[in-house]
Amino acid sequence: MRMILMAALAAATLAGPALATGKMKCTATAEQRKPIDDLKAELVKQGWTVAKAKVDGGCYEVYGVMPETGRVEAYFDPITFEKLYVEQRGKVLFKKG
Amino acid sequence: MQRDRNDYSDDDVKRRGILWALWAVLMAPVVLLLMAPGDDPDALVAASGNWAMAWLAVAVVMTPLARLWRGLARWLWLRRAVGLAAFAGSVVHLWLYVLAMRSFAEPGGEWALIAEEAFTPGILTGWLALILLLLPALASNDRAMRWLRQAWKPVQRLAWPGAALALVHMAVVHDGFSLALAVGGMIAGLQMARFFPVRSTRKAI
Repeated sequence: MRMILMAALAAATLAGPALATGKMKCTATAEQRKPIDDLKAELVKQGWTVAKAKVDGGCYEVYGVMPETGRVEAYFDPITFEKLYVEQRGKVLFKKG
Repeated sequence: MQRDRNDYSDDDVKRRGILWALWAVLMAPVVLLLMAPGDDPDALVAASGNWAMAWLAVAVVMTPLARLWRGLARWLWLRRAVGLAAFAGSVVHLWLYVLAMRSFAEPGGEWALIAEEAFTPGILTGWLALILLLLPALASNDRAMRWLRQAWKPVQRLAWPGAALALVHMAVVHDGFSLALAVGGMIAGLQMARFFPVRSTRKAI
């Protein structure tokens, strides 16, 4: 019984981190993407405070403070800078349909 | 008879010394995080939360583990230091969260940012977990044990819903689902040991 329990625990530990966490996928290649600093500048112009911006799932993922909303994690199309997804601490505020 | 403040035996003093020493060792990873904070405040918040969750998980699995390895049973009194390290880690986690919010806000504006997201699922579960863990932490001393008597155990059992909420917080606040699932699976799996009969380590002749 002890062995079964140990095996179950090992399986739970190994199986957990294998799950994916990606939220959005964009198909643009690195060459097609507009510079990420342009997106940051655009957002600052709109009143955002940008904490961090990076590529995730081919999209631009931005962490920052969105006006009238607060701290968010947002995804943008790297070519058009169109807003694709906005989440605030586990609450999805916007998702492009 | 009520014991006087200074009326402790040598064993009590030794026991307290060991508990504080263990607490200090368990807090070392959190202190090391603070000494080398890096340039990403969110990463620091997440790392401190992970350490607090790790110690909380250890605290709640010590009893079922002692059923699997009976030698551990005589070390169960050390759980107090593990639980208090989990709570102290949670307080550091909260403090780092406030500092991270401050880094994105106008001076004094961090409180408005914190209030704005207080009722989102990821943050609300964190606040509730901390409130639930506060009571067992305050009651984790000999004086509280004597004062609360039979109520002491139910107070300590608040760590259970506290741990469950902390796991939900970890899962939803920011992409922590797989880690929360692994930790939650391990805790739940070990609880099964509570339902197995304790076997003697000596073989019957």
